[in-house]
Amino acid sequence: MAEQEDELLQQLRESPEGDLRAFEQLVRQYQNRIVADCRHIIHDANNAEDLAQEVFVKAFFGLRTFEGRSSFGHWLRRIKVNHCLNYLKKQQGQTLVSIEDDNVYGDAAAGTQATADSHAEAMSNRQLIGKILDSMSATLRIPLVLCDADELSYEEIASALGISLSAVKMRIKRAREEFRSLYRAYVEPVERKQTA
Amino acid sequence: MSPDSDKPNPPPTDDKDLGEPIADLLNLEQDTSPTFLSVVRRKIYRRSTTAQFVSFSFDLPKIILVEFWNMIVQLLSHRSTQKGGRS
Repeated sequence: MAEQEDELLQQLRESPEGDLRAFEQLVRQYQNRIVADCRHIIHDANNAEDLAQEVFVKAFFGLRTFEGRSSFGHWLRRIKVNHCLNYLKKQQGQTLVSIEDDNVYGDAAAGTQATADSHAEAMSNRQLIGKILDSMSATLRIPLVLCDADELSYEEIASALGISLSAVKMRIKRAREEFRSLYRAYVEPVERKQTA
Repeated sequence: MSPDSDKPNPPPTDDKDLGEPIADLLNLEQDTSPTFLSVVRRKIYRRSTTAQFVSFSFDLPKIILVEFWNMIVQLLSHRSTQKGGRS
């Protein structure tokens, strides 16, 4: 798969205008992942696809600057993170909702726990993870996605979010704890039901 | 954070306790609409066309000015050679 990706990138670089067909294959390979990440960073399913499409457009026109020192996937994820955070900054100005505000999605978290039992059975693991992430506050969700889904380093996350390294570490630790406890709250009642 | 730096960053390892369900975040995916790819293609075409149009709009006045200047220079040099021929 990595060899095929390298071949496609080579084709793209050799063509002066960019080989759109080769690029489309890369888009097919990464589109589901990028859309999911965008959705969980911006917490908006409606705009996630639009943002992901813009990320791919940016990547296409920025391919000349890609030197191949990291994988294409990692490079693409960093473009996505920058794009999503810029989008959130713009949204913040419009909606006056701070991503620092812990209580923005607080009600949603309470609601999801109450209905966890009935929903968990019907959900696949992927949907469940999506739902748990949706119920978390932006303060914790974004560092968690950047760290454990996008595999960015703590330093990269700190510079992207404009916060200190210790704050990043603390938020990721808290986010993992909250994520695990929410996951258990969803899964354990279903397991108990199945064993009974 | 620059996406162009290309510096490979290993994922953070300190105090990282990955395991279910955190490890599942690595395989986070979501189905896209069937028109996803065609919209990307259209956006790329649109941006290329806009870029070409903008560069053409910038270059055209420059080209016209250069051509006009060349015309004047040629005309003047032609006249001076004509004058030189008569005398």
